[in-house]
Amino acid sequence: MPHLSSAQLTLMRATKLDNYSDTLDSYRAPAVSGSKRGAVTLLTAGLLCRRWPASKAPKIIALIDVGGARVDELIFFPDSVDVRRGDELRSATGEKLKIEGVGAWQTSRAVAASLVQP
Amino acid sequence: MALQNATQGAIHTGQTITWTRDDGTPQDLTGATMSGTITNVRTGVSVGVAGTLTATTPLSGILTWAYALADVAAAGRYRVQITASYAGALDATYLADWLVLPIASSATPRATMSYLIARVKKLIRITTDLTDFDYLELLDDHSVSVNGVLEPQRPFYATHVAPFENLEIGAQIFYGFKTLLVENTDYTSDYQRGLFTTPAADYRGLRIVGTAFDLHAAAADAWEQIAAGQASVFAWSDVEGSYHPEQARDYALTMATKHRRKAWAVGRTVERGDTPELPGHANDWKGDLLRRERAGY
Repeated sequence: MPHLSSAQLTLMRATKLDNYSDTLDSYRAPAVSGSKRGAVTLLTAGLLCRRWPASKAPKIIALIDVGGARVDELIFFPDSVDVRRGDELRSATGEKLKIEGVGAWQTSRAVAASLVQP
Repeated sequence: MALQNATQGAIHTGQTITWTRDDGTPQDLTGATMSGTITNVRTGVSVGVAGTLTATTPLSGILTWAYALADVAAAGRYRVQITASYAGALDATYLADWLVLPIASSATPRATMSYLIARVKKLIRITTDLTDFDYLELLDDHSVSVNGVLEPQRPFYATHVAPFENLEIGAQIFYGFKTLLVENTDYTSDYQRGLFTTPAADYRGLRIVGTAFDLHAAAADAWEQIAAGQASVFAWSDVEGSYHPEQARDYALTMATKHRRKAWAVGRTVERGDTPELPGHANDWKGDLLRRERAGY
């Protein structure tokens, strides 16, 4: 599909929204001040996403390193979500994931994340 | 005197009218008793203003008209004239154009169709896409006028079978020229099966006038409407997988095809243009007329 109309993209986003069955909170470090960075602060709570264990991820993309690191999970977000390399994701059970790389495909945003605290 | 439009049935807010004379001065309404007439432009029928006319600023000729339901009961074009009576001496305005705009027609289906609507809905099962009124319209698109003889059934001749099933409730049963039978007194009805039962074998040549409906044709139309509602849905695949939201539409079209095959056959008579009509108008209304004349009624 080389060119998609905004109506088609809207349909795709709406259809895929049903697939985002997991929620994560995103944390981001504040701006550098005095050559130091503070502790990460909550950016957005309850982001809808879909978490794939790396080896089970569709099309085995995760086994190829995204952004230079081999990762534990590949997480897909809707493309409206603001996630960046270096952000931290936290789940309700206390897991912390570090974002190693971000890539965009059509209406989704793929995030490679490694588990820093299970 | 210019009047604002009104809406059919909307009486909450009336209107304020300024009565100005030809020379631009206001009509002094102090001490006047006001009345008015509303004339329907199409029919020419005049009725009195049923609402209340009150002079709110009498010296400036300002009055309010609080509508009564009768004033705005029917949509249409009207002309309004207001008359002020000063202890028996009259002043009247010129006729002013006044529009009562219609409101959307009622979307309540006929009560006599509720069981047929319920049956079509059972064939669809999707409750969000179409309203009861939509189903009613689809059924009405596939109605057949039933005007036929009820067949008394052996051995007791108390059950009479109509030529069609799925009749609208309230079909009329009669004999002779126009002798109507009373439902639940002279007979009981099973409209779904087209059965009419009389207490005894008292009747010969009972006839029925009513409407029958093709449930499967209506269901096919309903499925097609549901499919049409998803016209822009398409399949695609991306990095996460493949998506087939169009399956729901394809299923609706499949069901439409299945129900269309169960719908009643529609026959069409094609007559050649180069041959004369049947002699004596055998099959049309003139033939009926001739036969009736011959039979003496």
